[in-house]
Amino acid sequence: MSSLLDVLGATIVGSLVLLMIFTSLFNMQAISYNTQLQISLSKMSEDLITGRKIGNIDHLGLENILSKVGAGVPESTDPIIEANLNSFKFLGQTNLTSSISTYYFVQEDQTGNGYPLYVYQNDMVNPISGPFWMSDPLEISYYDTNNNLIVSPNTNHDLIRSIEVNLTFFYNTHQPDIDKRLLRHSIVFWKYFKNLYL
Amino acid sequence: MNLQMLLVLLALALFSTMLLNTYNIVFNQSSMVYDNLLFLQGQKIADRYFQKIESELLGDPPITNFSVVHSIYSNLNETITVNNVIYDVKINTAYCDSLGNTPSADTLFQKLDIRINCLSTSLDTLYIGTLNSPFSKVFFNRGF
Repeated sequence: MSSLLDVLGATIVGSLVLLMIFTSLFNMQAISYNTQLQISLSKMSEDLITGRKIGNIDHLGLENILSKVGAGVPESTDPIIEANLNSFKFLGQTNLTSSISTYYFVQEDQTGNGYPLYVYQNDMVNPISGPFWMSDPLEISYYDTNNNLIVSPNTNHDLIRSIEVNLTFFYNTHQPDIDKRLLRHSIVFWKYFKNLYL
Repeated sequence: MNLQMLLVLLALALFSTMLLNTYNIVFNQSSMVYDNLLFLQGQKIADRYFQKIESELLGDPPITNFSVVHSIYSNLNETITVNNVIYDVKINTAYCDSLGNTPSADTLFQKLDIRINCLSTSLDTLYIGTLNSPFSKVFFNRGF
């Protein structure tokens, strides 16, 4: 009888230890997986903002595209076509020999996947970049020469000298249950339009 | 019997220590990743100041001039809040030679150094740019 109790006791203790090992392993795997996703998410965000070279092709980043605002545009023409909270359309020259392009940087309507971010160049149907799925709507703030926030940027194009762009990208985490939380990456960057200062 | 139980308890204690250590390593790695995100945002903030100064020195006449930049940024402390994180920005500028060596009596160039602090995920201070390795840029006096 005493031996039977020993066996039962050992089984219970052993089971508890095994349960602890498996739970720990699962938790560590989930944390590591989420950490890895967070790295991928920030890398994707940085590729989008600063650009990326795949093979011999340079994919321009948002910072590069936004640096074209007003480039090569005659003084008589307003280089900014549209300046809203979640869209920005402007004119600019890609390089010294090219013609002036129309760029459109926009967050379109929310779908089940989130808020899609697109970048268009001349062709306003087929984007050159996107969709990039965001968990929150795109937020663009416009500033004047004194770095004061412009309350109605779309009616004050001539005041705009710089913008602040707030992007929040996301992934689904490893946890598939009701405790599922989104893995988010929020980043803010600023762009001063040097061509508008000249 | 007593000895066996003691050995089992000892094994459990040793195993738990190992498990805690492994957890700690995983959490440390996770913290490093999140601190790097703060570091990335800090770089964007530093870039904002460089862009601002570069832009304001452009134009004919520019919005500001070289000596005004020197007086504004010679010892500037500011805070910027981004995504609920407070970044403490410290900016210093000094006249330098063309290689960025300071101090220099020549006022043709100035070197702007930016250091940023914020609270890390582990609530320690995260240094984004230090006194010895700040974010630096040399600006050229265009004569305005």
